[in-house]
Amino acid sequence: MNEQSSFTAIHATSEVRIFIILALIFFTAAILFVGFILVSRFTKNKRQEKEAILRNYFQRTLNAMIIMETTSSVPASSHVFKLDTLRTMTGKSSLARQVMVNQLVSVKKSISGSSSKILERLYIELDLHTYSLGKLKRDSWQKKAQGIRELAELNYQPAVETIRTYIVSDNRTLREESLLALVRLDNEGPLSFLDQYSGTISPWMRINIHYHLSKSDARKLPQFSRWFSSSNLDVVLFALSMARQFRQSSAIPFLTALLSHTDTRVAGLALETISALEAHELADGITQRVEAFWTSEKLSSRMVRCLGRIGYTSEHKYTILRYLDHPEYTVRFNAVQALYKMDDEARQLLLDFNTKMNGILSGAIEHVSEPLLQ
Amino acid sequence: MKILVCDDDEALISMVRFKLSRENFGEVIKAVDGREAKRLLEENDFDLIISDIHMPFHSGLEIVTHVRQVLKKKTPIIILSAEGLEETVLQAFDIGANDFITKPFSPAELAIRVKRLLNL
Amino acid sequence: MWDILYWIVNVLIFIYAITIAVSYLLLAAVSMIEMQAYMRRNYFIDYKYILSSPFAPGISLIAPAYNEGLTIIDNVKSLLSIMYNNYEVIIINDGSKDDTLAKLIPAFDLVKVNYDLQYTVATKPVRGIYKSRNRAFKKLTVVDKENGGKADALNVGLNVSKKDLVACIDVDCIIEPDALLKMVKPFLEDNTVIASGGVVRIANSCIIEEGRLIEIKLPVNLIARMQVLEYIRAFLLGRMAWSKLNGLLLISGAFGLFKRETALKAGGYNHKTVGEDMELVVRMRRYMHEQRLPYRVAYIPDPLCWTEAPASSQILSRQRNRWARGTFETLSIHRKLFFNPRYGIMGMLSYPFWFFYEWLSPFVEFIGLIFFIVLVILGKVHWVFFLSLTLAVYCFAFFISMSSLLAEETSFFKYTTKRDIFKMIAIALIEPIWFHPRVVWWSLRGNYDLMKGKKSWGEMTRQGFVQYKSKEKVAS
Repeated sequence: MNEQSSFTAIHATSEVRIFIILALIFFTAAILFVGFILVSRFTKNKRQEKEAILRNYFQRTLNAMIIMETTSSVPASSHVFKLDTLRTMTGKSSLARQVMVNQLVSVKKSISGSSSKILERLYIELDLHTYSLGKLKRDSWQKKAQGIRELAELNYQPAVETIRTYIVSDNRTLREESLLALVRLDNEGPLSFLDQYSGTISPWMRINIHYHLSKSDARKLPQFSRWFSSSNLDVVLFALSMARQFRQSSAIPFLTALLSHTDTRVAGLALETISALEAHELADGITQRVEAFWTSEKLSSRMVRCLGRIGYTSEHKYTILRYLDHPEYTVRFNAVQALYKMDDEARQLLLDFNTKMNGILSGAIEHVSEPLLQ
Repeated sequence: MKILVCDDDEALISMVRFKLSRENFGEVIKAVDGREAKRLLEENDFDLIISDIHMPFHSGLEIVTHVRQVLKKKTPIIILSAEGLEETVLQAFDIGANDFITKPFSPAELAIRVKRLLNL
Repeated sequence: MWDILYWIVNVLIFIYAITIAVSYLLLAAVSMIEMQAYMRRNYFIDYKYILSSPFAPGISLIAPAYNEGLTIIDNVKSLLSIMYNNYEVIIINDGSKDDTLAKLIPAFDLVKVNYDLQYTVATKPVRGIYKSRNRAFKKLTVVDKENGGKADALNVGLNVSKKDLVACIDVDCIIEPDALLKMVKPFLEDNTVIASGGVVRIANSCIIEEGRLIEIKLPVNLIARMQVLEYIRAFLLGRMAWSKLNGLLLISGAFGLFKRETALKAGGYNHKTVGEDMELVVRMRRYMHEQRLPYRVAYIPDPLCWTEAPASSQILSRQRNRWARGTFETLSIHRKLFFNPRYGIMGMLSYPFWFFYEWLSPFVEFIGLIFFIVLVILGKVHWVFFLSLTLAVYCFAFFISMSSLLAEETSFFKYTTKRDIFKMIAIALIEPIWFHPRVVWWSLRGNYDLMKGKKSWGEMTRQGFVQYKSKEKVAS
């Protein structure tokens, strides 16, 4: 008994010591965290106050500079004076420089035309492009990406070649940021990088690139069909969706070949592009290939939708008719919709088929004829 | 003349305001969200409304519907939005907007369009 | 004999305590690192590009409603004004006994339409589908069905939707206007993403007008305030790490976005469990593994969804009781995953973690506490030993809470006044003694109820009401 209790006691004291040390460590760490939170809160608040003051001031000056210059003849001295003041302010601290750049970028996002040129000029006159270029020399990828973004937003074209070197960066954000910058800044061929591009183009990149292309001069757009035969699947898909979105009818002759592409996404997108471009001349080409689509639910749906949009002969209509008894409901539904909306003859074919089949499609027909569901 | 400008971007409002007052179009009143816009519309008679689409509480399209269907007014409305999708533009005109300008826009162009709608 | 038993239990408890502490520390560390990376990656993303893009994927917002007559109009209006282009709102009236449907019809000028509905997933019969005659509400669809519980209602939504993605939400949640833009981004960046989950925050005492959050405030009610800390800890420290490891098992039922096709192929929601949100994610993951398809479950740490938390211990006890049952049911339905290498991280890490540290922990905590108290009383263990151990555990809990506050501070920084910080610290100090023991007790009761009430189980799910009060599940 005595032996037992002394054993526990000795054991306990060393354990107690460990517990207390652990408790102290965790408690001290927690208190350190609290200290950190308070300090960070304080500095953040101070910074925000300063930023707000700078932002207000810059905005007022910018308004005056943009609007005055485009409306009336203002004495040059007034412009010079404003510029000097801004230069002194942005020269003082990097916070001021950053706030000014942010302000230029945010105003530039909502205005265009001659006023937006004034912003680009200001960016250079205030030497802020050097500030952005300086970020490219920093080690952190985040700073680099931020610099690239600023140069692109404010349309600083001399930076194109420097930015091009980041296309192969290991960091995804940096890579994507530099691609987008090239799309915006490279006047020679905004998409020429696609020629040798072996990376991926995510839907997110597609959205971004499309946005910038849609805001740029439509005459500068390349013929997207030139990438239809690229060995990079992502490039093919990208080119197809752009051809569709920008309604490039020059792409039509190349679309039929893509219908038998090994990747079903390409074939599907080709069908959608044909519909969007209303390429009636390709309808016969589709009916000839129709067998290949049957086994895939997605391709069959797209095919009947496409044919419903561009078909005109009775052969086209009968092709769609065959899909009314496809095993997949979505295909049948799309076929019903296609025939119903095509023309009177097609609608009659649909109704006759339904009567013959004892009304199994009546539900779908009622659905597509419901005006509130269009 | 009284013009209402609704947008959740204060910088943009301040610029539009500056531009319109330089052109002497009269008083420019701002609303930073859909709710404030609705309240102002109920209390005042405006000669023109300029509105963004995406704003807190009510969208610009809701404002158009409100003016046309509830207040039953013919006040000219310009939609000023970054979103230039065909579908959205069609819907805006369909429910009664008089003009649609996509951002980025030119302030000078805005001024001309305002002038035309105000018959100045 | 007594000594051998003592040593075995002692060793087991210590192994458990050390492994749980180490895993929590690791998860916290991974979360913090991942959070910083997320903040840096998304620092200058312009989500508005998605808004104006024809390439934005279609989304159906599915919101089941059961006896929501009081607030339904405001809720629907706020859902209709979310910032996204290609989306629709599908409200499922799950056989409400109040005037939910009767209020919706005139407010949105609804009429019944001939919708050719397919029961891809079997559900209770649908009585009618309504659309608005007013073009301003073109995005709205209202489905009236017989009562079948939340899971059944969500399944109807899956059947009605024709979009690529479905967002399943609680109708009375406050969704931030840019929520869909942020939630959809993982799907755009990586086409193997099958689901993305968001953070749920507590809306008690916040100022809300017309279904919009005007000002964020710390809840006045103590029980709700405790949950604020609990939610921050779970969402910022736990899930961020799990998503990095691609081992996330739970997407909160209050707000999640799914690939409709995958959800349907996996069989939709399971209406036999009260933990249908977790169960669906596990089943979708299992389906992908069994089809040998690559996939990811993403997680967005931005606070996108705000919900009213139970403010009385009575309602909270019911909620925690249900969570405990839901966890056990999900784990038992999918027991095949337990340390099964075929299911990758999910089988080897996530499932065992949930089993040992989520489901089992209330048992261990309870038994451990009783065990040591008995030993102290019997004089087998010195009370100093007991106290120092308790102190170590307490300090550890405080440390983890402070880490989560630090993660919050360096990321979203929502409770802005300095006073709030001190209030949160006070909460972190009180929580382990005042709040946590009760949570443990409620979980035990949940497990007890489950074992006792197995036969009456079907009856309980069919009542539906219990499930609708479920808001959010937190891994504590």
